[in-house]
Amino acid sequence: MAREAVRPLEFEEEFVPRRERGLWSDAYRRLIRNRLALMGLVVLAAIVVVAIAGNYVDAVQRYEPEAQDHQELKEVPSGDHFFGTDHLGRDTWSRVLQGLLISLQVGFGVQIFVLIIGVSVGGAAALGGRAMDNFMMRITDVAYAFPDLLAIILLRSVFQGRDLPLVGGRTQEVVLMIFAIGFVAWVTVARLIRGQMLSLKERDFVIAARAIGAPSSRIVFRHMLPNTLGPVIVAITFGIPLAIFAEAVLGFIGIGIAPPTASLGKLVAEGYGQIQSHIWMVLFPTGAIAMLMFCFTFLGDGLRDALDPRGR
Amino acid sequence: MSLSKHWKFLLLTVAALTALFAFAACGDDDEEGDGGESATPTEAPAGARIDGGTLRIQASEPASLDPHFSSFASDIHLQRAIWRGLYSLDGQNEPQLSMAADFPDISEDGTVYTITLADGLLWSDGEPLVAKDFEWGIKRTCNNLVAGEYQYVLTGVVGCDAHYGAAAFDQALEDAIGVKAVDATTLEITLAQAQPTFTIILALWMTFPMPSHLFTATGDAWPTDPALLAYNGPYSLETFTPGQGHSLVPNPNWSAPQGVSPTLDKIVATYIDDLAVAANAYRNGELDFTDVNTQELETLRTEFPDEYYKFLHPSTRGLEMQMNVEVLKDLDVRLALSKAIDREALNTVVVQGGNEPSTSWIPEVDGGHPPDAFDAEIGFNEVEAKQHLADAGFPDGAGFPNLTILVGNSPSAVATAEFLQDAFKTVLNIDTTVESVDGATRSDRFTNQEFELFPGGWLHDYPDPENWVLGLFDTGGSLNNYNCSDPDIDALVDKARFNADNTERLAQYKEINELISTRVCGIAPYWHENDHWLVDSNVVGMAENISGNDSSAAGDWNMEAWGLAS
Amino acid sequence: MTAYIIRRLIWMVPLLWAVVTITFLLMHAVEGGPFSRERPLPEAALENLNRKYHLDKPVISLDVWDSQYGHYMWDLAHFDLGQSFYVQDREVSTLIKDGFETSLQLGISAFIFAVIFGLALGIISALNHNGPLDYVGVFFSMVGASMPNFILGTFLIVIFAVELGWFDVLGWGGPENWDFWNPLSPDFWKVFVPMNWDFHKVVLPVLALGVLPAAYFARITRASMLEVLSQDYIRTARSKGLSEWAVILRHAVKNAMVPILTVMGPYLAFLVTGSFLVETVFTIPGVGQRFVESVFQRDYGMIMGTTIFYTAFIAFANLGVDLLYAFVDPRIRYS
Repeated sequence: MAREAVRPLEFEEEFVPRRERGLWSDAYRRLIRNRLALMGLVVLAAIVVVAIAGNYVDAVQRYEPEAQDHQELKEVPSGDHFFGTDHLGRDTWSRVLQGLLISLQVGFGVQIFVLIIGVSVGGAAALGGRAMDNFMMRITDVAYAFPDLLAIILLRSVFQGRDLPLVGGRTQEVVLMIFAIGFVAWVTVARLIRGQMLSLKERDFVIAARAIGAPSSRIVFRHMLPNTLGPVIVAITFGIPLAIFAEAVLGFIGIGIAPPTASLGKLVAEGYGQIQSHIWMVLFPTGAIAMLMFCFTFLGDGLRDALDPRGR
Repeated sequence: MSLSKHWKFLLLTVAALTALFAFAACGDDDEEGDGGESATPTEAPAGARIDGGTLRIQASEPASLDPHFSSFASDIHLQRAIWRGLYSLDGQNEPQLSMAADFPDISEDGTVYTITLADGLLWSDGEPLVAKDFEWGIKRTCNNLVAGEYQYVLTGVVGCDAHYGAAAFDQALEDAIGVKAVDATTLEITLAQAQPTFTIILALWMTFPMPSHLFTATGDAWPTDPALLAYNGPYSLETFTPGQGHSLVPNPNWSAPQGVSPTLDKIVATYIDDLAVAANAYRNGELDFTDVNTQELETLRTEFPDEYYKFLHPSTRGLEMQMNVEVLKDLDVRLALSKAIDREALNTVVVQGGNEPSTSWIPEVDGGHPPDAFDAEIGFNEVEAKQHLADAGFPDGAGFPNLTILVGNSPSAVATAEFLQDAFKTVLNIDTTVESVDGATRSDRFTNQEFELFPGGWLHDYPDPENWVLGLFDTGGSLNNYNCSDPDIDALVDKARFNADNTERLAQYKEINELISTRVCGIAPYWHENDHWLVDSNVVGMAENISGNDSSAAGDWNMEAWGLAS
Repeated sequence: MTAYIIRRLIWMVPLLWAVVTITFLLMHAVEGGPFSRERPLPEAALENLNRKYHLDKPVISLDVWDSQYGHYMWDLAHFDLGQSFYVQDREVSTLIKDGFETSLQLGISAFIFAVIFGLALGIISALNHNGPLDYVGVFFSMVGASMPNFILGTFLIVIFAVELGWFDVLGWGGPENWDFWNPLSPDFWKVFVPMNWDFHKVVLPVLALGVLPAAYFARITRASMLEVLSQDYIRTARSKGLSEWAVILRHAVKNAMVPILTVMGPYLAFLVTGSFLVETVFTIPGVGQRFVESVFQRDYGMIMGTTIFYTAFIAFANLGVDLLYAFVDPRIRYS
């Protein structure tokens, strides 16, 4: 009605101000509302907590993952050994926890590696001019053309038994694994970032920022990167279970993390030979891998819906 | 989507799935069963063997069809079925006549062997089998273009090493090799020195005849199409498909020197390396014979008590120690390590009791000692182990360097390493690192002597103690990668190597065995491996060889005896 | 469009060259060689073997043609992939061809299963949104997407082959000697005759390999269908009085397909080249298993051959998918 259409300024303070909604809080709300994604997030957080506790808190770990008890070989799950014992008498519960932590480390580690390389390559390609773009894209093409798993196996074989400066022992193992998987995985994110940056380059706010003389670095880090992060976060979330899977496959064919450390893949490989006689050894690590993948998949779905509700 | 409804459904299905999996696993008993042990499956009721039938076995893929080149057991297994040499070894490892009419006529000084072939020998394609075929066979093994991996066994033959070691092919060098076909049925071999074991060597695959009528020179490429080859063994190769399998049919021109001819219509071998898969195929009735996965030993023993067989395998495994490493030069340290290993427990835990714990390097059946012979000197003894370590200057492990145990990546290799690591920590309180690498890397490191502790061992080439010593434990031996260098051992080796007196020779090798074992010279033996087979109850003729000369299947040194009972 | 295709094809040459060079160097960087044996070979034998396979030459050197790399590139330029270092006297190309026949059959069968089953499940789920069928669908895609295929394969064997005896454990049941590259030969068409297939050997490997992609397709189809079903044009179609089936099939499914096609292409390539675990568990003589084995055996000839083959295959498959995408979605145009 005509009378309500006009709102004199004096009455403004009487209205309850609406909350500022930025990109992130919007996304967050959408994510929370997605039940499955929320479940995934919560379960994942629980797993992470248990994994960390299971490796640093004695009460949770209960047994040393490497301690062998030859009187208790291949025991079924009991109150004493929650997941039973393996063929060398080691407690499967503590080994699965150790494996979970390693798998999480590998999964996240690979994505950090991927992010660093992806941002560098994708950013350089998008912002560095035509020649740089072509050059980077050619490199990406070559990396993309490599059959994934085969390249990982080759890289892992090259790295096996080599020593890295500064780090040693288990950390070295995890780092080498991250390199082997990461070298193959960075391509998708690089392409994604490049695509995003290229389209952002033409957007008004970037042109405006450049027009007022803002330095490139500020443009990139303050204005462009935050806007690329949406799809990148989604890609990374989906990438983590893939990295965990890759590690499981490597462990299964025998070139995974060095013994006696347990990784989920190695546990599956150990249990695989005992499927007919002692199925528990394979059931729990497989279940752990499955759970991790559930969580990340649903979380990823949720994030994608939350951050990019328009398209897929 | 409603969360609570979803969760209930989820839980139900997870429970159902778990129950299903448990059901699948639950029929199996993991109590230690005691299945048939060391029995010889030849005892089918008399008259039950039938003529015909197809035997389906599990095998490994051969890398090559060329017996003059091969070194892999999987290759030799197949080659022994389709070719035979002048002699063959029976179940007691005694040489028997095969293609030869009689045992060799040896000259006074023992260097010239004259052998007459049996009458009327034919190849599978109908061509006569002549002495030239044997001459070419031996020359092919010595040929440097062929690069035969077992040439070194023929090192005693005049000119073989010279030809093989030359940088390029030289026809003159080949002609100078001490093998000659005097006429169509007489072969003359000249050795550099008398070698009492040479008749045994004439039963081995590198001396098999070559169908010279199909080749122009000894170094020609060996065909991979079975139809392009000719055979003189009990079977002919019908098909050979890489990655899949091969099939054998009886050779119509088999000379049956011991009077035994194949009764089967066909043998079909499928290449399966993953023994868990093979076990499942056996359970499903798709195989009549398979090698057994030691990871599943208990289960299979209980599941198939009458079909499980454990046969002796002429191999010894132990913890090899690089004696160039400072701390391992000390005998006390080596004794400490050896006495820290509970061989019985190792056997139970890692291979479910499948092997024979032993402290003797050479197996008894090959001229060594019984497995418990040196238990007192180097066997498991916690107290003495700690004492030795203290004597060496590392009381309770203090100051002992962290040694690396290098293993392959198979589950049992890794389990062995993990067991040893745990044993050294628990008994001696020393820390060790396990390094698991793939097969080729491991072998490379071993050859280059880049290791400290290395679970490894030996499998005999032929049933004689010299094969366990020469090149392995003499100073500077080509296979002596752990650098065992003991003057007493060297002195005895010199005496025994060309000793024509067989009894004295064997006694000398026994002494050498004692020295190697009690002085832990490069190796602390921990077991003799056994072969484990699953043989269907209607299979007959798979008899074990006394020292386990079988390559990949029970009795595959004598496949003409295999048959079916129904 | 033609210019685009030609450009892509031309670009493949330097791409392959780069992949070949990198693989060659990587391969030689792995410790150990084809003749590293458990029982070391005697010196003389090693020398002869190295000479036989040109391993006595430097891997790469300034005098390019006298290096192993040079020899290999020369042969490759003549389309000669050389011999296997492990399976004696066999051409790499023959081994790959034989293996690929089987892998292709397995991969395509699994792909067809995944597409039919996944799409059907996704569509049904979407149509039955929040109903019982939807739960089944989502549950299946959850479980299916989380199971490593070799574990699934083993469980399938234990339950359906060993315990129930319905299927075989060993081998592959597709027709042998399938000339897949020659549509003119009669051997090509025998693969379409169901009688030539031994389903006892086919069902389990196809399931093991196909369940994961099926789960993935189901999820994407469901999401895509749900999105499409909420679109205005669907409501329009319904209000026009079209039967539900016509609405679904002609409008909904067709439009939901577009995003699905983008993922299908890479999956087909993955299925054909990534099946080595299933091949190992079921003893199927495919190329994937050969590649993994050749890495462990350091069979340089096979490693190079399979990598080149896979790379070329994937490159062509990607090109095919991109063209298909352009064909299906008229908004896409390549310059």
